[in-house]
Amino acid sequence: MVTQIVARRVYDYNRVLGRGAVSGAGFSLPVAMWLGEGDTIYVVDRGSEYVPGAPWNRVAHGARVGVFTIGGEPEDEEWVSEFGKYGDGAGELIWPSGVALDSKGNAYVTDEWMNRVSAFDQSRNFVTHWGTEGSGPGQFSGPSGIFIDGQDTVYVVDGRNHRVQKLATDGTYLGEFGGLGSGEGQFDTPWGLTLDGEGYVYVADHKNNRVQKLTAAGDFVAQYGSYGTGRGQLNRPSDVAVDPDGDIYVCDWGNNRVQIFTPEGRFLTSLIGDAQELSKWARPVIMASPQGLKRRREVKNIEVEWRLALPSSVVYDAARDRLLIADTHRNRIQIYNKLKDYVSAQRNL
Amino acid sequence: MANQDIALMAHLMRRAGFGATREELEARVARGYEATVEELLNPETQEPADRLELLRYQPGFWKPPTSAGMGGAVWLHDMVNTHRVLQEKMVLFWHHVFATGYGKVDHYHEVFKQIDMFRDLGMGNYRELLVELAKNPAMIYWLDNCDNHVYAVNENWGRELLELFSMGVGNYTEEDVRECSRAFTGWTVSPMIPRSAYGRFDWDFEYQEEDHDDEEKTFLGHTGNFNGEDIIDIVCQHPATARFIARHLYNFFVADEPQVPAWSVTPPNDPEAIELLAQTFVDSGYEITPVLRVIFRSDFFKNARFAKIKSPAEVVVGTLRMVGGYQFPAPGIGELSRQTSYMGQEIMNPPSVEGWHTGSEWINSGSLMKRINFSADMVSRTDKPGIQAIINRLQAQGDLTPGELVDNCLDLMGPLEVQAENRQELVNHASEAGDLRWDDENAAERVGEMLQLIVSLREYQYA
Repeated sequence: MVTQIVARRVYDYNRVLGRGAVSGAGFSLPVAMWLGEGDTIYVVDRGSEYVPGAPWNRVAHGARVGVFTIGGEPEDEEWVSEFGKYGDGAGELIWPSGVALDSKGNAYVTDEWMNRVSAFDQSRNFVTHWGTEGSGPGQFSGPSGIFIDGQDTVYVVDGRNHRVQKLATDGTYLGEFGGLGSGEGQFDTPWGLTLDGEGYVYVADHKNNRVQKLTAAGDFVAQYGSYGTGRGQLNRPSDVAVDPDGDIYVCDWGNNRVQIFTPEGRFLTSLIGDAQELSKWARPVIMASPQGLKRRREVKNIEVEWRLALPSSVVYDAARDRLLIADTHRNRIQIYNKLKDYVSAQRNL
Repeated sequence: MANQDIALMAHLMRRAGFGATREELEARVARGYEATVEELLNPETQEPADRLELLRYQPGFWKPPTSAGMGGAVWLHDMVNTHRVLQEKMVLFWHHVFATGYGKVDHYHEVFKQIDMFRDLGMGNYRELLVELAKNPAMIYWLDNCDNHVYAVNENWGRELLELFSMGVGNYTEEDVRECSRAFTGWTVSPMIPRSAYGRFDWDFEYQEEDHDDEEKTFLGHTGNFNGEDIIDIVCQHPATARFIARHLYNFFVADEPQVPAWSVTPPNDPEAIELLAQTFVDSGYEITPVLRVIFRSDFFKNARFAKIKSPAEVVVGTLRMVGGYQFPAPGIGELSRQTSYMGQEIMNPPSVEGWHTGSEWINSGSLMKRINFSADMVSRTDKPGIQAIINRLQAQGDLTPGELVDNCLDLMGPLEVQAENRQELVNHASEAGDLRWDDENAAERVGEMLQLIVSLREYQYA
């Protein structure tokens, strides 16, 4: 089903955008997103080491931050620009992992191999980077998820230090919370995070198979999910988003789905991917292969192609009431609208 | 702790695993040899490798492109990280026997699925393993069974099943190959969504009844309306199969045998051992674990120290596990996984369905140089935890004479047994810098140098 009606919510599959591409219109393992002005979206492409005989500091493919506009209707999407490239020099990225913009429009990109945050100005020129490897204040071991609030406080998930650090946009250390463990307020290799409209912090507590809700000071409020493959259960969650109604979207990475919870933590439903149509950018690639088209007509179960594959990131676009899911291993973004004025068809139709 | 106990445990762990640090060896000796064998034979009691950990940091290795190193990295991560070392060694064993390569299949992830199947079933029942192998999409494509039709028989899979996967040459006729192949008609793969803008997708096994030869067949003296599983039953019952699998296991775990093509004309080095293993295999109903138990408990195994030349995979994985610090899937793991290729063993891409020639055929002037350079580079990294642990143990003994330095390093690297003249060469080198004094700022570097010399010895190439 592409329209799910559950507990007075309606989630309606809207469309898919993307394709595999090491630059330009498309993605190379999109692992994180940030909504900018209007419907501009910033997408972090992890890329991959690819070329035989090339050590990591020489060549890989696709690492960058792509900038796109999505538009309101299918096929409105446009590639705008991109910045950052693979490497360990200034403004370069080895394992880009997250992106966020401050109130002035500057962009900050985490790199969980280089253990630093790189800053780019509004024109996306490299400005500086901050952070070094370590476990002290302002140091990182695997910085991944990043969120900047309305006061320009930067929250960085410091994954292998099992904590969240709060910093100023110049990298000044402001505080931290967390620590290794499975208790309340503790983390095991957290990945993504977000803040809701009230300033609560939600952290994808990756290896604890849960999402934690905390105050901005790091005090425990609630947790969602436990390990498993069933309803409301999680397998290594990667990211989390919250909509204005307080509904919580958990990127259930290892289970290839997004799980939705009410603000009270009651499980609502799962989104597993419904990309039935070929995207605007994928279509010409697929249509260009007569052999491929012939084979596609022989395939017995094409539904496999619709489904999410290890999705890494979710973002809720409150202005348009829609959820964006980075379908990482299919190099695309799937979009679901949360319909507010939906009238269901007559039941006995 | 008696040194012979450590030496025997080190032997077991080199063969049934990928070697072990001195700390692990001491802990295992304390638990006992028999207990260690049972622990190895029951992998579910140990932690497996965490494949999700690799994909968390290196998502590019999920259904990767068929570029050399992209698939090997996945298995390297498994081999370096798993605590289920015998299970992983059995995966390597079956990959040697049922050699399947991405070079033809052109999808690493389909070969992964076969490798994962070996992990699930490789210590279990051989008949069940053969049935799943016959249904494995990578194998079906590799040996053309997808082109084996009721109206046009293709004998590739049928022939290799008998020649290389079960009985060996000389135990069947060309007519048996034909009849075997007829029984596997209709065993194919369903069409895969072709790779394109969204990446790669999976193959599935499919049995097409309408493409299966449903007529009577006569195979190895048995007549009936056989399907593939019936053929596998008959193959398993044939005494040649038990001897063939026993000889493979002996060659992999005990001592180097001649190459497989010679087996029909060259008797085993230890016929009694082969017969014992074959009988165990039959008595257990084709179970693999009981055969492994007999091997590891036997005198012929315990007395076979350094009777095998390490495969490149054993050299690379064993060295990485000893040096330590390579558990995390850091950038460059793709290139790291190619080291075995440079030594003559590109895992997941064997030279043919016959697999790799082993023993002394691993060694030529080029591959030996690659082995030594890789190992020497690794052990020189004195900041790595495994090397640091060796240094700490040496340091605990105080300052060392050149002879003490050599003997202790040889002990901690194995214990390695080396020829007297090789030991003397090491002592001569160590003597150039005099006694090893720990207040010398170059002390760690000197240990690293000694370890480099040791892994350059002929003896380090033996398991």
